[in-house]
Amino acid sequence: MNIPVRKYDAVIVGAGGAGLRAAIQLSESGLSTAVLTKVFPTRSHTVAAQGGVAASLGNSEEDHWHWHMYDTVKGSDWLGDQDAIEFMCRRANEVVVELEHYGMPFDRTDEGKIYQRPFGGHMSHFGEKPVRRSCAAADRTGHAMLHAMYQRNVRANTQFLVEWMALDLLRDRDGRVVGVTAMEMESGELFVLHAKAVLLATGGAGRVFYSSTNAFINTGDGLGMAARAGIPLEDMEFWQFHPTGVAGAGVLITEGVRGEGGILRNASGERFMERYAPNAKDLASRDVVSRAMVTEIKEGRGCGTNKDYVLLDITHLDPKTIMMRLPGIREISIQFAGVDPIKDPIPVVPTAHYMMGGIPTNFRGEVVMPVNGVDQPVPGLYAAGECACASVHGANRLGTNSLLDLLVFGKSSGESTVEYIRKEVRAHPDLPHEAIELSRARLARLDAQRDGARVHDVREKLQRTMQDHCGVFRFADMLKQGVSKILDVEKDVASTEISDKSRVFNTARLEALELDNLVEVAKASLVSADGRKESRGAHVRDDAVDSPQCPNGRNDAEWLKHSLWYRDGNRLEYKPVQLQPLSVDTIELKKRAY
Amino acid sequence: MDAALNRLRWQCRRGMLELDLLLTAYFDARGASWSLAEREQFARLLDYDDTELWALLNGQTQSGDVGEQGLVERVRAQSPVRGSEVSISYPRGTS
Repeated sequence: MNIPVRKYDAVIVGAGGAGLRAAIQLSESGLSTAVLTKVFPTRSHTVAAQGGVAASLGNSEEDHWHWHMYDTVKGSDWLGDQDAIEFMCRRANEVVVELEHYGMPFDRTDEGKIYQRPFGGHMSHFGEKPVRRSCAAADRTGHAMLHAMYQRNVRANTQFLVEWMALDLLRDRDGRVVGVTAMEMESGELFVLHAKAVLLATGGAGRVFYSSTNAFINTGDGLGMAARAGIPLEDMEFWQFHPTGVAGAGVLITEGVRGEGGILRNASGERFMERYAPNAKDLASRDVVSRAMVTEIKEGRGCGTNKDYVLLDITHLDPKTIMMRLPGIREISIQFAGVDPIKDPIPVVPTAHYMMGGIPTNFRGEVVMPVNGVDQPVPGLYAAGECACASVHGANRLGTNSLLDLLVFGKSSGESTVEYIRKEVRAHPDLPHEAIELSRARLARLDAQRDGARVHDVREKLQRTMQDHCGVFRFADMLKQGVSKILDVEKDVASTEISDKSRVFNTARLEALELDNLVEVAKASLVSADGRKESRGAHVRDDAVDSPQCPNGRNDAEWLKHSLWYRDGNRLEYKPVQLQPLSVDTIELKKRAY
Repeated sequence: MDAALNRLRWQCRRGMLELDLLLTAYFDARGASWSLAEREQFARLLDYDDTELWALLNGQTQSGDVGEQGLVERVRAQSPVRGSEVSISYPRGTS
């Protein structure tokens, strides 16, 4: 059977913020660029980003990229690479102004400048006092960004392959990436997209958790593709959680609810935060609240049949206050928890929100992997946005840096791709047929499978394993068990069966293919989390606690290094953190405290 | 399911989890029994941008079209979860 081949200069996988930004760079350089995407570009998960984009424009008060850099390094708990962080913070103003020129409707000051709001963790003078740094378009920043960049791409003649799913990277014997295999949903047909370079911008993978704020499309497709092609995944133990997602659904309940007087209660109705944070109580920081909730659940004080959630109670508030100040939350609670919070408390659990790790890149957006201990670019492969790990977020991400990440590294990866194609590739390299065969075999296996496992059941087992064993607060014994459980799940993934074998828009087939990617992300996360014997940023272990030698359980002497998980052998390697910025002095290690 | 209906199911996948949950739950409950007109009406609803659709489905805004507003109300009424048993709220896949 011949698989149809289409040729482009570059193929971008994913049309969220990072993919669209990179595509502008490529198409405006005159290269033929295809962007393939599972959903229409403006329906990418970037649409859910409301907070804004950080840039030290200084429009409202004095600000400086170096202060932003300091906040980012501190937020990362010193695991972020300081060269990439300097690069991102220095380039923030440029990419935000460019976006404005693309037509982004930023909120404005009376003088017509971009209006900037305060945001948690944004400080001036190296952590001294809060500063207004976040640039937003009302509460629709992500949405407005996607629209502005999509229009710019239309103008630049970017070719969109909408409702296509990429399956595998095509990497030749020399390690060069020369395209992808992809399925067109409308025909169900497999294609080869032959390219001089490929850029992955597939976003996050929050669907590995049972409770996640991520949309269904966030299945880590780029990470699965990279892992299957022999490329390691970096720092996958680091996931940011939000304390209050609606239990079971994952939909976010904003922190404003606790600000208005919401109280967290366990199964016996106790206001348990009084025991964990006697002063701040329910208004303690995200980490503290999340860990207290998990401790309550783990010690058997959770609510419901499975004792697996706690309650967020606002029934003591005046219904008029709820209707006036929290109408959206009441609506969410009724729709996704079946509970009117005026009468009954809302079931909530800590919920996975953002993946700090990903496909290892440098600040130029080149995918890198160590060769004899030194990072070398994988020729022809680039990555940007949440799927990539530059690493600017390190062990925890600073709010509003996710949109900045996708603008800065979307642009830099695009620039690097253009340079590579212009200087290094004269013609399309030959296609590696064995790599194409891998995709065909995956599809053939799925069509032929009998007596296999149901995709829904396997996915739920995977999500529950991640939720129970690799959640916001980690326990040494649970991590070990989790690693062994996920290897069992992997066996089920290899034998999934779909009853519907139709070709056109077969969601069942697509979900089975997504599961192949989710399982790589889950293995990487559990193995990396089990491996890292310290607490740092979002990775918090019960056996690595605060001590004079290890503040907050962070052990710089042994663990100031990035994890690299390899699919082959399910093994870990480590590489040093880049502590040397590009032009300024290193931001020296100290205890992370707010 | 036929191809056109399959396509609508895929297009219930959006950028926001809230929409994924609501649209998928409604589709799974009703999609198979739709008339052609009902399908077309649902397809038109899916044409909205995510933020506009969410504003409709969480009651912030109302559609000027009476028929469409009726559909919005039906989607809203088909919440993905009912009662306090939360473990059923994760939408079931198609496979």
